[in-house]
Amino acid sequence: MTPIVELRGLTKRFGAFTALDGISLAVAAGEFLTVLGASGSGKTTTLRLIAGFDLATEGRILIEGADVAALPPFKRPVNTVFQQYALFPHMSVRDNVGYGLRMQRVPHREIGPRVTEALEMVQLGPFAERAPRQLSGGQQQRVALARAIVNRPRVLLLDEPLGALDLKLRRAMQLELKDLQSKLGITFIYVTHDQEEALTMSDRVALMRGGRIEQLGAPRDLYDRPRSRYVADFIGETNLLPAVANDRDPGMVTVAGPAGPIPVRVEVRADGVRAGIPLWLSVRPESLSVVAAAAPAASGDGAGNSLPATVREIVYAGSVVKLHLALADGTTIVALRSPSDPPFASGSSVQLRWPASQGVLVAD
Amino acid sequence: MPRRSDPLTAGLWISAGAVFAFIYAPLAIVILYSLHDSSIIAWPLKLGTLRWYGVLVHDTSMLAAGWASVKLAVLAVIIALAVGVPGAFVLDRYDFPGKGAFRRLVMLPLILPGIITGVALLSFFSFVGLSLSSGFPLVPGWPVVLGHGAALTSVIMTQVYARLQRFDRALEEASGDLYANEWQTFWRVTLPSIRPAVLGAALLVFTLSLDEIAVTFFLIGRQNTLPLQLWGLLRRGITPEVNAAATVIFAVSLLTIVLWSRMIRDEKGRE
Repeated sequence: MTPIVELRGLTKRFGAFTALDGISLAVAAGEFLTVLGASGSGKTTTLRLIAGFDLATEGRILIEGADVAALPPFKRPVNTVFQQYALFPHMSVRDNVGYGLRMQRVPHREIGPRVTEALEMVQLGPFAERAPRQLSGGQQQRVALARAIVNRPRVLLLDEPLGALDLKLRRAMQLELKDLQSKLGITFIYVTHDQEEALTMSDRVALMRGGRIEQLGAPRDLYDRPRSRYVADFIGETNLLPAVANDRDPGMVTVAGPAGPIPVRVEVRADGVRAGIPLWLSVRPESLSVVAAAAPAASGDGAGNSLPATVREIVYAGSVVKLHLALADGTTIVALRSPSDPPFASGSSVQLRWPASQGVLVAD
Repeated sequence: MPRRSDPLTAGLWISAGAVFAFIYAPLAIVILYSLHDSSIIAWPLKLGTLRWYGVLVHDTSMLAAGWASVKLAVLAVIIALAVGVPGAFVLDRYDFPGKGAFRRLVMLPLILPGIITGVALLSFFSFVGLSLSSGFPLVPGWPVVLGHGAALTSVIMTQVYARLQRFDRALEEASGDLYANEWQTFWRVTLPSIRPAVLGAALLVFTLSLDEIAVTFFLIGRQNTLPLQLWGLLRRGITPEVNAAATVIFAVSLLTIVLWSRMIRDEKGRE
């Protein structure tokens, strides 16, 4: 299947600064793709190039197979939901939503029903005659959404659309957006810095770093198989244990213990991992179990790893208890336990255990 | 609200009151005099006549001067808008060498004493050989029209520039994203957003032109403007008719200011 949006070697330089460094990416029709990254990673630049607000320094942008890189925004078959909504303050909600249709010279008798339909889709039917400033942030966000989808674009670009909303509203809107996307079958290219949002909503996530795509994949791939230390750290919460590769056995690494290096078994290794460079073993907090130091070795789990640690702090967080621990070399470790598990005292010596399949060896 | 009645607050009220009295009492007196039923001003005033307004309406040279002032002000507004609005956009959106210096120099005609601007413009027009009465009676004279337009362009430019600096460019991007070309975007999004600032600045230019004496004095040809006509009449003393004319000018200025502040308020309410 031909991708609906394809970026080839897309580069954007502002003077000496390279905002986007030759990224290539293919988006399938109907896909929910999230471009995730810290500020300055190039995610918004990517979106602005696709929309046409900025022109690429190099590279091609294909929408439905046609190169649009030289076209102005109003000639591109995409619509955008802006971060601060960018609603026209001097127009009513209805006129805002109908703007794109009027500009496309859609027959007048069609505009009214389509605007009404779009407003009802975002549950704003009764607010059609209001001015944008008379609406709450969440409502304005919906107007921005309606103003874009009323044009029935093949691709919708969303630039941190929920960034200005409070947490509770944001969660609700995430589900609503996802629902709307599958109902309309529009391709979403969604920019956010919120990794949780990216994991919740997306079919695929492109994690950007320094103007490049660090990793592209399903949320699960990024979480379970990060291809670098940066990805492991950015997506979700993780523990990063400095590790040294074993020259003879690629399935083994050593980490610092109280009396010298302790061998640890690793089943998942990211690309680019080799001996002689700094490596980390990434283990998610929920993969770790904490047992008393004197407990017998776990039975049956031959691939299990075990590491001594000291309990530093115990944080109660409602559904879980967060244990902050320290390894022999001072590395801080977070582990999750159930509030019903037998508690540990701060300062007590314990064993950290995890199956070899749950650790990922990554390079920087 | 709790009221403070310490001596400092009382002193502030008194000084503020004095300042306002100093500004507005003379205006009140002008208005009172214009209603005084005698050509000799003497207290106690005999108020309640509109006869001086009648005299004013039948004074052909005064009417001609008033009409010339209005034409002059309207033309000055048109010129200042035609140059100042595009100028403000250039300042806001493009970089060019010397932009910083230009942005400051643009205010120069307003900051310089009118007498210097007047002399400079007079020398310029005599250098290019444009007669001060050219264009009369269609206009009070092209030099004075161009002079007002040029001097007041800076007002439009700075006001509109200030508004453009606060204008959210994402609105233009949104318009472009919604299939409007640059021209449609300008007329449907940008201009409606800055319209109150443009109209406000135009009203300000209108009143400034209407009151202007110094530059006008140098550039005026055969036809006096209203302020210059009044100035001429004053040589014969302050007549009730002068007071009536002053009252009319005051009323027009007040009306303009009220309109202007309403526009500013409308704009604020929208943001």
